[in-house]
Amino acid sequence: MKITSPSKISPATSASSPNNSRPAILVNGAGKTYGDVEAVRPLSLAIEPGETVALLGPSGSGKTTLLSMMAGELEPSEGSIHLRGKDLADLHPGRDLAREVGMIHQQYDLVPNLSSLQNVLAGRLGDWGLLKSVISLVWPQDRQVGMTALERVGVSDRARVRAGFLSGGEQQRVAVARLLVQDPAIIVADEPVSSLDPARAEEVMGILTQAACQAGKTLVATVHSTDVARTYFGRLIGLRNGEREFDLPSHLVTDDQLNALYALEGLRDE
Amino acid sequence: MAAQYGRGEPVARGGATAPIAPARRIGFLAASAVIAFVMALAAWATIIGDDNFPSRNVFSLDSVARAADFAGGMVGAESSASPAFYNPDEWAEKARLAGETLAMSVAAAGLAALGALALFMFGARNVMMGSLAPYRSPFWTAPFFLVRGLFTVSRAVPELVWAMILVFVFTQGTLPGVIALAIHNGGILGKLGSEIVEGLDTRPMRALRSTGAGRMQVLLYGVLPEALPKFITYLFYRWEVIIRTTIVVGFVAAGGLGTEFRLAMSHFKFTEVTLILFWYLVLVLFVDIVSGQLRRLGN
Amino acid sequence: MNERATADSLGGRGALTAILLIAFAISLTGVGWGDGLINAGGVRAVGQILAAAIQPQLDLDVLSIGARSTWTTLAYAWAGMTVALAIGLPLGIIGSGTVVRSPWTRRWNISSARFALAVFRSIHELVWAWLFVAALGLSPMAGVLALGLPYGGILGRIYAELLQDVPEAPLRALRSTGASEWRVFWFGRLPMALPDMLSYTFYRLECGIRSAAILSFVGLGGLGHNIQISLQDIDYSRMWTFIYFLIALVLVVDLWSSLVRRRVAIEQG
Repeated sequence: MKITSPSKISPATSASSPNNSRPAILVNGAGKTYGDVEAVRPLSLAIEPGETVALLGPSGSGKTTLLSMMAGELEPSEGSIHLRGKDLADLHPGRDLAREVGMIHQQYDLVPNLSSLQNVLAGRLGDWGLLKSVISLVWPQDRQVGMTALERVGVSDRARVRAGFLSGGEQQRVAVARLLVQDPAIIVADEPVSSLDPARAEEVMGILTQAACQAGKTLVATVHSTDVARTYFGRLIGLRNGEREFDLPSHLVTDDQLNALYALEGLRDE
Repeated sequence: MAAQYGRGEPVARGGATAPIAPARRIGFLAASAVIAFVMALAAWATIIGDDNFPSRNVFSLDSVARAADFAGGMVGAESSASPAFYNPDEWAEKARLAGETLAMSVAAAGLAALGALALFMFGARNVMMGSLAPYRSPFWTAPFFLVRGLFTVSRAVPELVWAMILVFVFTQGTLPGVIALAIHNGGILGKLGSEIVEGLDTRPMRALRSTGAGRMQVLLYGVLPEALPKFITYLFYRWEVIIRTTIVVGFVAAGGLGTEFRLAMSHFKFTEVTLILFWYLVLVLFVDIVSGQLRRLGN
Repeated sequence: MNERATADSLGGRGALTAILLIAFAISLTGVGWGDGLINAGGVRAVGQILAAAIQPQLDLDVLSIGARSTWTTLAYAWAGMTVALAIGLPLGIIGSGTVVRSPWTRRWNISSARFALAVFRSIHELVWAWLFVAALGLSPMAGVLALGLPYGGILGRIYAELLQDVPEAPLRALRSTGASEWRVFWFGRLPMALPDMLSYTFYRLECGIRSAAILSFVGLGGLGHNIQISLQDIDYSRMWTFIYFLIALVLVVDLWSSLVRRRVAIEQG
C-alpha cells in the first residue's frame, strides 16, 4: 500500500536535521545512581542519525536505565544527554520532547478501551488543539493518516477493534503505527518484542526496523535475544553491571563476547 | 526538575513505604476491634437507658397489642371502610405514582451522573498532583481540593436533609426531591469515579504523554475511556439504591409513592400503606433486574 | 462513514449509551417542572443558606446540643450495626449454602435465606422506621431495628457471596482429612472470607452513620432531628452547625473505616 500522506511519515520534515554531522543522540558522561546503587556508570557515546542500535545485556545491566535516560523519561544523576544538539534537560517534557523522541515499551502502550485507529491517531495529539482532540474522540480526525500507518504495519483490518482485544503482536504493531504518526526523529524501544512468541517477535521487529529505516529514523532498542539484535540492528552496545562491555558494528561482535556478557550473570544467579 | 521525570518518583516512594512492621498493623486492627466493641456496649447502654421516649419498653404487652393492631390495620381487618386493595382505581392510582417514582429515580441518577462525570477526573490525586502529573501547580492542586471537598460535603449530607433544604428553594413539585437525590448521589459517584481513576493502570497514560499529549488530552484519551465502563457499572448499582431512596425524599418533597406513603400513614389508611409497599417492592425488584441486564449489556 | 467512525469510539457499548440517554430524556419529561423552577423567595433563600454556611452558630448551648445529638446518632448507628450483624451473619452463612452437603437442603437453604435478605434490604431504613414506630410506638428500639433490618439484608447478601467465592482447593484438602462440613466452614471457609467480610462491614458502618442521622425524621432524635427543627425555625446558621457536626462525624468514621480496610488489605497481601 502506498503512503498517501508522506509529510507525516517520511523523514523529509523532521528526521533529517540541517546539519547531518550532529549526532542524533549524544550521551555526555551521563550516569544514574539510585541511593548507593550505580545503575549506569557515567559513559559517553554518540549515535548518528539513521543508525539502528541495540542495547544488550543481562537484567540489571542498566540497559533499560540508559534507554530511559535517552528517552527523557529518567533524569541522569550526572552528565547530560543531547538530542540533535539540544540538551534534554532544556526540552519541554510534552510536545517538544515528543518531536525528538518517541517511545515504545514491552507492552501496555495502548489504551485498551480505544480502537486501534484512535490509539494510532493519539500520536497526533501533540499537534492537535483541545477542541480537535475532543471532536476526534467521537469522530476520528485525520483518519487517512492513521489508516495509512495501520496499513504500513499490516493491521488496517483491525482499525475498529478495541486495543484491549488485539493479540500481543497486533498491539505492538499498532504501537509502531502510532510512532509513525507521531513522527519523532528518534525511536526508542524498550524490549519491544519480549512479550511475544519467537515468530511474532521476528515479524514485529522486522516491521519496526524496516519502518525506522524507510523513514530515516534513528532507532535505539533494548533487545533480549542476541539473534534478533544481530539480524535487525547495525550496531550493538553490550552493558553489564552498569558498564559498557563493547560497542561495535553488529557483524564484528563475536559469539565469545556475547557469551561473556551473559555468562557471568548466569553464574551469579546460581 | 525532578518532577519532569515522572518514572523515578514511584520507585523512591515505594521504597520508603515498603518496610512497615507487621506488628504495628496488627496492633491497629486489634485496637480497632476493641474500640468497636466498647462503642457497641456504650451505644446499647444509651439506647436502653434513654427514657425520653413514651414507649421505651418495647417488650411489654402494650407494645405487642399495638403491633397486632397495626398489622391488622395493614391487612384491612380493623378498618370499617373497604380495604384499598379491593379498589381497582386505587391500584391504578398507585401504579401511576410508581411510574412517577421511577421517572424521578432515573432523572436523579442521570443528573448525578452528569455532575460526577464533569468533575470526577479532577478529583483524582494521581492525575492532578501525583505520578501522572507532569508538574505541580496551584492551577491543578486547587481544583483537586475543591472538587474533593464538594464530593465530601454533598455525600456527607443525606438526601433527605438536602430535600428539606431544597424545598425552600424550588417550587413545590418533584424537582426538589430529584435535585436532592442528584446532589447526594453525585457526590458518591464522583468519589467512586475519582477512586477508579486512582486505581487505573498508568502505563498507557504515560505512553500517551510521551507522544506529546497535554494533560487534558491524557485525561480525554487515556483516563476517560478506561474509567467510563466502571463508572457506568457503579451508576447502575447506585440506581438500585436510588430507587429505594426516592420514596424517602417524597416524605418531605412532593412526588411519587413517598408522598402518598406519608399521607396514608398520617391519615391511618393502613390498607393503602400495604398497597404502596407492594408497588414499592415491585419497583425495587424491577430496577434490580433491569440494572442487572443493562450491566451485562455494558460488558 | 460517519456512523462507522462513531462506532469506532463507542465500540459495542453504543446501544447501552443510547438506552441511557433516551431513558434520561424521558425521565426529565416525567418530572413535574411546574410553573418556573425556583419559587418566589428561592433565590433569596439560596443566598441566605450559602451566607449562613460560613457563619454557623457557635453558641455553647448549640454546640453542646450538637455534641449530644452526635453521640445519639452514633449510638443508633452502632446499635443498628450489631442488629445487622445478628441478622446478616447467620442468614449470610445459611444463604451461602456452604454448611450442608445434601443438594436439596442446600438449595432450600440458599433460596429461603436469600429471599428473606432481599425483602429486608428492599425497603429503605426510613420506611422501616416509620412502620416500626407505628407498630411499636416511639421507642429507640424502633430506630435500631429499622436500621438493623435493611443493613442486615445487605450484609447477609454480601457475606453469602464472599463465602461462596472462597477458592475450593484448600477446602478440598481439609475435607480429605475427613473433616465435617461445619469444621471445613469454621477452619477453612470463614477464615478465608473474613478479611473481605470485615472490610465490607466497616464500609457499611460509614453508610450507617448517615442513615442514623435521618431516622430522626420519624421522631427519633439525633442530628437530623436538630437539622429539621432548625429548618422549621428558618435558622440556617444553626442548621449549618449541625450539618458540620454530621460532616465531621461522617469524615472521622470514614477515615477510620478506610484505614481499617487498608490494613486488612495489607494483611491479606
